[in-house]
Amino acid sequence: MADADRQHRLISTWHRAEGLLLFVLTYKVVQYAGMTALVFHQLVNWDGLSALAHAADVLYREPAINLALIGFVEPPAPALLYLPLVALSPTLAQSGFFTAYFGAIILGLCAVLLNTLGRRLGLPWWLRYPLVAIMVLHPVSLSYAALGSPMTLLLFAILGMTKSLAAWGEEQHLRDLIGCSLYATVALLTRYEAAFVVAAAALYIGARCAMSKSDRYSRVEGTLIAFLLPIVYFGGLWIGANWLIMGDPWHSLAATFAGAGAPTEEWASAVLVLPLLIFPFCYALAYHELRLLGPWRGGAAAALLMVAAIAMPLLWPRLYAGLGDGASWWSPLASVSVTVLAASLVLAMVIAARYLNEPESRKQMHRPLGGTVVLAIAGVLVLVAIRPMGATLPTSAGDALKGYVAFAHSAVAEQEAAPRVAFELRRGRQVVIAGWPGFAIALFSGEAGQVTVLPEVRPDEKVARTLRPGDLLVLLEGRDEWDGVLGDYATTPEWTAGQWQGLRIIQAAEKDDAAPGLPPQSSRP
Amino acid sequence: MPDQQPANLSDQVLKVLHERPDECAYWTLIRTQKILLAAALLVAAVLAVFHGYLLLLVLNALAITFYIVHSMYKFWLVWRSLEHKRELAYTPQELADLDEEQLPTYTILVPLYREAEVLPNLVACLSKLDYPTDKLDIMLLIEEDDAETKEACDSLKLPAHFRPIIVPHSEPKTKPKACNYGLYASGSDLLVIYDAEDRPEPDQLKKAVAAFTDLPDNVICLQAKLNYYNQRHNLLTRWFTSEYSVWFDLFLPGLTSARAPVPLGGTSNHFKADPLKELGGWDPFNVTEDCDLGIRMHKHGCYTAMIDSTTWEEANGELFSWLRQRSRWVKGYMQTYLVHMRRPVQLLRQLGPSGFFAFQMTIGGSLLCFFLNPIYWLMTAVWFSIQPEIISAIFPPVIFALGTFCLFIGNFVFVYLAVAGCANRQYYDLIKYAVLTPAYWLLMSIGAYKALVQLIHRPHYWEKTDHGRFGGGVPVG
Repeated sequence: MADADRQHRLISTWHRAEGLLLFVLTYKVVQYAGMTALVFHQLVNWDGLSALAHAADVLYREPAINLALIGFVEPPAPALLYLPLVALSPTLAQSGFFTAYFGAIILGLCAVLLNTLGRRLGLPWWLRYPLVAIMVLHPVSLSYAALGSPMTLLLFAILGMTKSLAAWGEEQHLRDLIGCSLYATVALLTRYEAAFVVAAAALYIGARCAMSKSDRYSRVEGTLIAFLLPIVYFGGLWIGANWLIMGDPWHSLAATFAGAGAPTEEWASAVLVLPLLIFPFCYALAYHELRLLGPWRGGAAAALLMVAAIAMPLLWPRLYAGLGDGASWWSPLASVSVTVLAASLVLAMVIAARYLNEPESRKQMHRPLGGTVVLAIAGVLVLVAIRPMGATLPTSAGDALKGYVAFAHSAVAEQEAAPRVAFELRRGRQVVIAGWPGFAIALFSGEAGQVTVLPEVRPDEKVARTLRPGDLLVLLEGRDEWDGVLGDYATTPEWTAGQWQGLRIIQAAEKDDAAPGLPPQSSRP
Repeated sequence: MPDQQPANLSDQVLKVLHERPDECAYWTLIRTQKILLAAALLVAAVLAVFHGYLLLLVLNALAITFYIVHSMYKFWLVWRSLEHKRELAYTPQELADLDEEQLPTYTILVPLYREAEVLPNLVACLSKLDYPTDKLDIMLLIEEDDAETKEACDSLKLPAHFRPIIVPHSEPKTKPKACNYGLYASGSDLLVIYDAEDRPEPDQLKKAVAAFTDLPDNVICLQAKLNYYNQRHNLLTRWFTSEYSVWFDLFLPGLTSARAPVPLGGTSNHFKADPLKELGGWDPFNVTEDCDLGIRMHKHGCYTAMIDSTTWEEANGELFSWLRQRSRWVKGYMQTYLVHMRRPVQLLRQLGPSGFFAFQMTIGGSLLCFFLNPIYWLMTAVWFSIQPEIISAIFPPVIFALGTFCLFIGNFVFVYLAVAGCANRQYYDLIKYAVLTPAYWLLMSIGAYKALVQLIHRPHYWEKTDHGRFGGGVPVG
């Protein structure tokens, strides 16, 4: 008994050490990549940076704490998780470095989660570690994590959700149902597109319960309440907070999708609905179909899923990078790529474990690879459905990591604009920035709490009314529209940084007297 | 009426009072506690006069901190139970493999007071227990002045291993006193208590024997799970069922796995008889003698484990009767807390830091929640109605953030635990009622305040719960 206890303790210690080691290794890799990208190439991820800026606003905005800024223009979970980091050091937060730290921590947790799952499934280290390495070093996950994108958090949530769902499908244990529900809540509060994944999971859970022999109705009802309660509750809280603080329960949702380049009807079309709805189903189906595997087919299925895990997420952003600008077409597709990556890895582990651990007698009772076939066909269908909508290929393979696709953007212009903004603030002037990447300017200025950033470029009349002569308006475009809502005032250009224009507010009467043209770009305030 | 009276046991039923007065609830507060309480009230009164705001601020901060710690601790315990099954489970085959010749002798104590209506059903249920009758001694403990139960007993043709015992009239007239009477009259190796309306699963005794064999010697008590057979009677019984499903299926297994002191549930406690006798049995002055005994055992190095077997009880479905029952339980918890906190440093040494913390959270924490909840509900309602300045003042930003966390996360955790309890028991149709459980918390708090008043006026008064009103009298099908 004592020997068994000692051995158990030793194993537990080794497991903890293994987890810690994996976490630290992943953390260092991501942090190195992130700092290199930010410091040497000025690459940022707008979503990550804006979440960081929101967190900084919450803690340091003057004169009062403004909770409305915890991601009221985007889902709240990333900004909330940035809060403790920002509280540690405002200076580091405003340098943008915390994006790398954030991504490193979350991807480190993903590595631990995946490795723990593999261990629980009884996979040997030589199978676990490569799978973990694939996840950590995959361009999708590494790039998002290095730049602190909320996508990393989505990856974590989808990993956990798939893991829990797969386990629940196997044993229908309450723990897995609760786990799945909590991960789904995080996913939904990270990216609204996760609603489709949650809906798919709910349908899968409902369908499995409906297959039970007795007490079907109450089983479906009760299980779905248990699964959906945290999601509905926290979703409802979020809507309530929007209502209470912003006066509009759907403010955040409207703000998130208002900037999308594609028309609404197209959002509801194949791009959003098809991949997001079909893929979770595919996985559920694949999982079902592949429960009992033949001796070699199981290996093949796991290998196929591995190929999918590596190739498909990479394909999406690469294939459809040219679909739109800013937060439009690639945005939901990015969620799909993360979902596919996470779910594929988990399922590959589950299936590989079956193949390795099932007794011979059960291995003979294999089913055809229907799930994999359906998965592959669905993948092709999605490709076919989206391709005619204007997908273009980027010019080179390396572009994916150089800031030309969804992962990252160059922030050279924002870093150039930031000191000019800081200068204005120090002189006691109000600065309003219109345009999503404006969060980066605010953050890099070191005065994130003092700047008003509007996520959209179009004029906001309420904000426009607060501007006074001498204040600064920083725009990506739309100067004429802004002039139209400024009433007695107008704008005159002072400087440019990349596409950004710094416009001084003046009396409308002075507009004609103002010097035409722009000062040279190299001029500093 | 059989007159199988044991020898004079009047001294032994009060053994806790005579041999362990420090651990007896005969005195609600000892002198030191009275002085400390008076001093605390005096300081609070002075602070209230001169620094009322500061006092409210500090109390508020402490309460909010407590809420967070308490919620997280309970969630952690429940999660432990969900992660791994913490109860000892045995298959029918394993039970069948037990050598009946080697089974220990077993006493079943059934304290009865005005339970004539449920007696036939009780006898039917206990007759179904899968245990050799020659090793079974079922003691029906009947109070001397309970004529109706005596008559009902006489009218039944009891099997030979059923033994009516008349408990002589004396104060306090409580269930633990009757149990002690049975305990010291018993000569068996193992012993269990059932209530009059209980329907234990037939293999429960064998499971307990198997578990005692597998567990270390210092585990002297096994708690079976309790649940209700009339769970769908009305909304109250549905809520009661969800509460029991969390408590016995998720919370207590989590506590035992954390090696924390376990507040035992009222029935289906299986004991090794000799160590229990050494401990003095139950405290006859404590109205939740089971909870008290669980703590006392742990203090003296005797532990509790859970077995995967259920005893079905009758849920109280009548509001005022439920309130009486609940107020007795809360009063007993208060007695238990005050008794064991007479010497906190000694208690810390006996339970260890984690056990001491668990005691504070499980016993003290539960009580504090009952009393604090209505205050905070009222404050929330007032705040949303008229937003008075004083409430804003005692919620500076950090406290406000923590308070918001409690309001939205803490409360949700407890609602979700109720849902989890029902889902874990596969009571899928009760889950939707579990979502409404905050209304049930209000009833609990009413019961708690009633208990507080009664603790002052009638500390040892036993508010009896009527049985057989919700199907308890119906013979087992």
